[in-house]
Amino acid sequence: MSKRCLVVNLDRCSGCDSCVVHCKYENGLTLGEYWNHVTAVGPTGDFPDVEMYWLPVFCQQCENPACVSVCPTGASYRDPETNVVLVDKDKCIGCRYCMFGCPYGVRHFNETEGVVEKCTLCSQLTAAGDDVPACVHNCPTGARFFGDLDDPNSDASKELAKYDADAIHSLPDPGNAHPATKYILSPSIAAWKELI
Amino acid sequence: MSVEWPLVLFSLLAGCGGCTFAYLALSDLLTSNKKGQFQIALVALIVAVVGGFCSVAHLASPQNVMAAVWNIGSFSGISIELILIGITCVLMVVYMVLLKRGAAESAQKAVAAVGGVFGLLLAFFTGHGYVIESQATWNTELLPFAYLGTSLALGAFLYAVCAVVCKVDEADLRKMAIPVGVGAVLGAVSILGYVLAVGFEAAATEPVLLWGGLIACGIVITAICGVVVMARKQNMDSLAVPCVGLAATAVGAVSLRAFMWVVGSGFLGLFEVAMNSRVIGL
Amino acid sequence: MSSPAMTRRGFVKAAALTGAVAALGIETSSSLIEAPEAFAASGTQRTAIRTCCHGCIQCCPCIGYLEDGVIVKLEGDPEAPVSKGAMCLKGMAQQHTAYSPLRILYPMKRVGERGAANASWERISWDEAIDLAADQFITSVEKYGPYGVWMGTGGGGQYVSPQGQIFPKMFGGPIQLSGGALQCFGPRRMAGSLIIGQAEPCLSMADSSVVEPFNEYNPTMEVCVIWGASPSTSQTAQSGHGMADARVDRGVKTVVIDPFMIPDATKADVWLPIRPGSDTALVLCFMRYVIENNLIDEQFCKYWTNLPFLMDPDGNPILAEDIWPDYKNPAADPNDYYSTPAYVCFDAKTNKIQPFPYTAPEDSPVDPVVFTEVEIDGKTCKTAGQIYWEEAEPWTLEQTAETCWLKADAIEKAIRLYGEAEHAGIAEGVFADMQQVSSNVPIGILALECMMGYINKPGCTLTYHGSYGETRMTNAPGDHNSRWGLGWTYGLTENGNKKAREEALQKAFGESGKDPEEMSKGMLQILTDRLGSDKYRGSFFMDMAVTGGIREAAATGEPYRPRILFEVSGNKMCTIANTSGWDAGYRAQDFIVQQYTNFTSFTMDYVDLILPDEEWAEYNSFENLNNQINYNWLRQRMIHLGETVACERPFMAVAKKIAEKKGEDFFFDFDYLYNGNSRVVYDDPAAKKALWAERFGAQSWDDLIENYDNYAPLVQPDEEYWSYYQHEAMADDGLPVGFATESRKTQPYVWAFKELGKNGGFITWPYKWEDTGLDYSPICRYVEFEENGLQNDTDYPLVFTSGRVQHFHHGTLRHAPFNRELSPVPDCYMHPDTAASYGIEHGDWVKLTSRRGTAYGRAYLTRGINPRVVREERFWYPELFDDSRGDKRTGGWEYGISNLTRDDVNDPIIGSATYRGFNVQIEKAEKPEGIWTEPKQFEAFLPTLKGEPQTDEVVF
Repeated sequence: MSKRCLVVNLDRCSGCDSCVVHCKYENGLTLGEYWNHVTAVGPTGDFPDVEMYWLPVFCQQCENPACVSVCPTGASYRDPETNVVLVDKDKCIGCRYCMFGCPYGVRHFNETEGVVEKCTLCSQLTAAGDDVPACVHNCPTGARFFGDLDDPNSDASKELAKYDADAIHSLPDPGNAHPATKYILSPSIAAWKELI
Repeated sequence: MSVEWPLVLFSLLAGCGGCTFAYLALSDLLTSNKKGQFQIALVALIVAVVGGFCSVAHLASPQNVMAAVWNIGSFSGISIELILIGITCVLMVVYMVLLKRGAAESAQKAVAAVGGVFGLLLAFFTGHGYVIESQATWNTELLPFAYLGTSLALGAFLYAVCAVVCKVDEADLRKMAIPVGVGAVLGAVSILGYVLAVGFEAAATEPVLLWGGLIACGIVITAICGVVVMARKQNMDSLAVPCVGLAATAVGAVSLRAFMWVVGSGFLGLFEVAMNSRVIGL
Repeated sequence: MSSPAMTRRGFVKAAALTGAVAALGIETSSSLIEAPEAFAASGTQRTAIRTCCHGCIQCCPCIGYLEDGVIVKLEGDPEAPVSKGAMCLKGMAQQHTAYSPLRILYPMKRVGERGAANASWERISWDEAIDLAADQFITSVEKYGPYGVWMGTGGGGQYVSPQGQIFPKMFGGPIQLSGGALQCFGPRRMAGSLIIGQAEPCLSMADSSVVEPFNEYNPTMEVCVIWGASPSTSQTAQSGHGMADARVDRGVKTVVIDPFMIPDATKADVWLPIRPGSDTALVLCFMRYVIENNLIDEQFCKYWTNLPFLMDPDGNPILAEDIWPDYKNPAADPNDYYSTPAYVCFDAKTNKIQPFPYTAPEDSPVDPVVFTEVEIDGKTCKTAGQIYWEEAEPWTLEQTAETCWLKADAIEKAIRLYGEAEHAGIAEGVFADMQQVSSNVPIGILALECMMGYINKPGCTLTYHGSYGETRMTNAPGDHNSRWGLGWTYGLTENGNKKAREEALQKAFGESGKDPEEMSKGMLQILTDRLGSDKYRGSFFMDMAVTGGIREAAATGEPYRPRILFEVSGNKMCTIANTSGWDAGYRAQDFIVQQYTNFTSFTMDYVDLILPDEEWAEYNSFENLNNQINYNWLRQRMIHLGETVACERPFMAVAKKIAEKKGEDFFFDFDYLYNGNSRVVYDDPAAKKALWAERFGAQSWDDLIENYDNYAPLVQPDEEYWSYYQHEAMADDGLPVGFATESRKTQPYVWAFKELGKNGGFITWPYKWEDTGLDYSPICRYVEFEENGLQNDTDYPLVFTSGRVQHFHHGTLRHAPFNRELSPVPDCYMHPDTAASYGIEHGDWVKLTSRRGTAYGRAYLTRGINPRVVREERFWYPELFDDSRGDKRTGGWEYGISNLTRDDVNDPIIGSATYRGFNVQIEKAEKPEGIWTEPKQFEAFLPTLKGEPQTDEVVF
């Protein structure tokens, strides 16, 4: 089994919002719908001695995803091949428990279809293993990397390997979620903020 | 977070129905007179079933509940609730059938006892689904206990009101005074427990819910009514106190559930931040 | 049929995917994919077309995927050497804007009165449209003469803009207007042309002039100073990507000088949040520090700059012959055609003044002292270097810190990074072009780069790419010289200039029957009558009239009235300085033709005749902005809707129609249509296509398109492109090629300005302009703005600056629904302390007021800005004239920040208007009525034209 997820290098990210729309065009989302978004963190400090970074946010591919365990129908599931957390919309009953269960608030309720949706890591592109998500392909600063973290030769693993441990971060864990997504932020750019 | 009213009503009514049946079961165990038992069981069943329908309104489409039913084996919060509400209602019906058919007393008592226990479990588990680590204000066992406690208080007063209306023998009613009073007090205590778990400072950001719904109705009036019931065993045929208690408890129980939603902020609401202020750490 | 988008969104799992792909028989990995069976069975084929994005002024190669002739997906082309497959949200927006309900697909004329409220349009044919426009221009010229004819360009959304210069001049009209040009790139081009002998490279990363930070073939750059530029927001996927690679992959250190913490500042080694408008002080501080601490490249200063030349007390260079009349200049051209003067220096070897002939450095007879002064005939003569030093001398770190609102240690850290590197350079953005220091700052920065020797050197921003060649370099002031014989060509002697002039005039008019000398004088008259050009003679470098001059003339009729306008840009009312001042002038126009892709505020309010323009998805071109470093691509048509045509064609058609009706003699110079600019022969698209195909080495256009992957990209070999020290190569006269300047060296001391101010100098030669006492500074001097944040201006206590955001380019894309959803209204950036003092909270609406007008924005609180500064970007609101509104009105130009700006104080040489660096007041406000802020509101801008049939380009 592989462990597919994104790695985002915040040393490169310029907060341009392009990944937000790459996702929308690729996945047919419309106005007000997001599977991926960006928020600024800071600037913090006292002018002019300030620092900041941008935090692109999307499904973190938790190892113990609450969204899956709370789902009453098995609609939220983890693909056994890729380890990617997905929603089978045929099974989703729109109860939104997964949205309550998601620690990061990165799921979207599709009012029209009455189902919950989320980042699929562009599975329509990536499932066969030879393409990358649209946000990775098109990222204007080359900040996003996709791949199997268990495979040292994946783009994601290779990018992580360039950095020391003090530059590699995950979103804070509410308990036992273990988000798999990694963010790279070198202390020389800004100190990683725990956000809680 | 905004209040999910269908879920508030579901947990309120299903828990209330379950606990009303639990009180009925207790009275069945404590007494031999069957007067009013069928009617009260019917009320409990109706309340629980209406509650069940309320939960359906939360889904994107009511038919979707069937998908939840087919996936009952997932043992998610919802499936446990479904299992429990199903079993409880079935036991209520069985109990009523046994009553009607005049089945053996031991069978009636056994079914009542098991049904009562399931009623309590139902009340507890309507709150237990919310104990998830991503919701810091929900992630405490005091939350399902508060759901159980408020359901218990509701069940207690509803049982008392029904019993008086059905003119249950006063002697039998007196035997139920202490359990009813205890139920009410437990309801008050359970609310207090959850409010303290959330933290009084955080709770105070919702002053109407806190002071009006939870403290005045859910704790003070409910507890007073409970104590009065216990203290005035002789006047169990009066409707006044149970009715006031039922009203106060209902307000308290609704407030508790609404309170849970409004203080539920999630762990990190990152899309919400990105869509609104667009910045963390201003 | 299910829409592809929905099927993608309906993705379930891998098994379904692979099955569907197989069923579709689609081979590309990125093709669409999991689909319901009915859709799969429909057999819709997806085709890919490689083209180039034109969402900004750079070029990101991209791939468009089409189904049934409709673009269903865009993505960056991974083969692109700088953007590397990236594409930003401006480019992506084409998927919506090409099919926007606001698009203009047919020629239309206004029915009824002007104004947005009742705007109504009648579709007409192209023949009718061209006829109508031609008649209007004929009538105007016959009644009022050619000075009423003018053209507007700039502001984004157009592809090439030579027509702005060509069309009015054909009639003999002197007015061209652009919100950019004099306010964008023009000033830097002028500085480049005069200091290093060519307009490019000239510090602009946005205009693809600065590429050395992106050099992966021979990466040497150590430090890049980003001064008032914002690659990550302005040119997100190309320069933004390139800078990310430079910083992260190649360890290039960066200094960012910007009042606002732009994205590049967040990654910089040093960020200097300078007070808006105080940049001249910082330039001089850099200069002082590198001179004082001997960080300059002394050899380069001595032998490749004019800094060691001794100047007479008037500030003009002393020639060797002035002192030694019998001096024989060893570099003189025996044919007296090319010019290589010998100057005078103070020689360290002999300790006295000596002739300083042009040689290779190692062959020089002298060791010139750069910073000194000497007595010559009892007069004190300073070197150009000394003059610079004296200007820079007061600008200590401490003084500069106080003036620029910076910290001295941060300035020092920045200068040391820049000055101690071997391979470094400055990328100067548009900021100074838009202020009254538009000549001073680029001259100062180029002078600094000259002192550092950061020119034609690996890893330096001012490095030319390719070869200078081995012939002598010359530098002529554009079409005026090559067609009308106006202006001095640097690199030629007087005799050479006379010969070249005769040849040019003969070539242009020899067979026309026109008197070449009369034509030359005629053009001189046109140029000297151009609005604003009498005072701001540097405006010649962008061949533009000064914006404030046009505004005043349009409103008052003085000195003459612009009457009939051909506008080929988008919403001028978003991008032009002092916006509200233009309203009266536009209303007073007799007739306005606009060619553009979509309705704008300008269209709704003022335009009489609309001509439909191609979006970049519809556009074929290999003309300009088609490359990333040494890789070149075609901008290739993916779709074509309605009757849109390339923006270069209609004005030509109108001109030809006028000639057909009235004869070519109706014009001052009809042939300029073809000879003005070699790019423009668009009335024969087939010829153009054949030319482009030939450049790719293809047999024909069809061959090029069919086998595009075999021909593209067209790559200039790395070893040719990434070449250095071009000026040191030997020319055919046995001397180093040098630079295309008067001295054959870089000229950080721009003595040409002396003559320019006095008599028109190199611009009007052989004629002289009236001496009106203009005194243009030959060096960068400290300039303090009239409104600058230093005074106690209680009415307007804050200093205003502006700058790009990632979601929009110039005035474009306000109708792109996804861009607007993310950035629905302009953010007014301010420090939390500032906001608190005005009772403003994050997200509150804010009204900004300057002495010129008012604007609105929404407060964005950030600690990345000085508490005394606020910042906001330009904006307009197409929803205000959306059909859904009961009270349709103009596109909200009255809310934009351009209302705050001023065109009454200008750069003294160029006349650039002031878009930034003035005082404002802010207050909490209510949202202006009718502006959309919620995502769902932008549904009215979602595509409606995907069902339009595909068409061929109209032939006329």
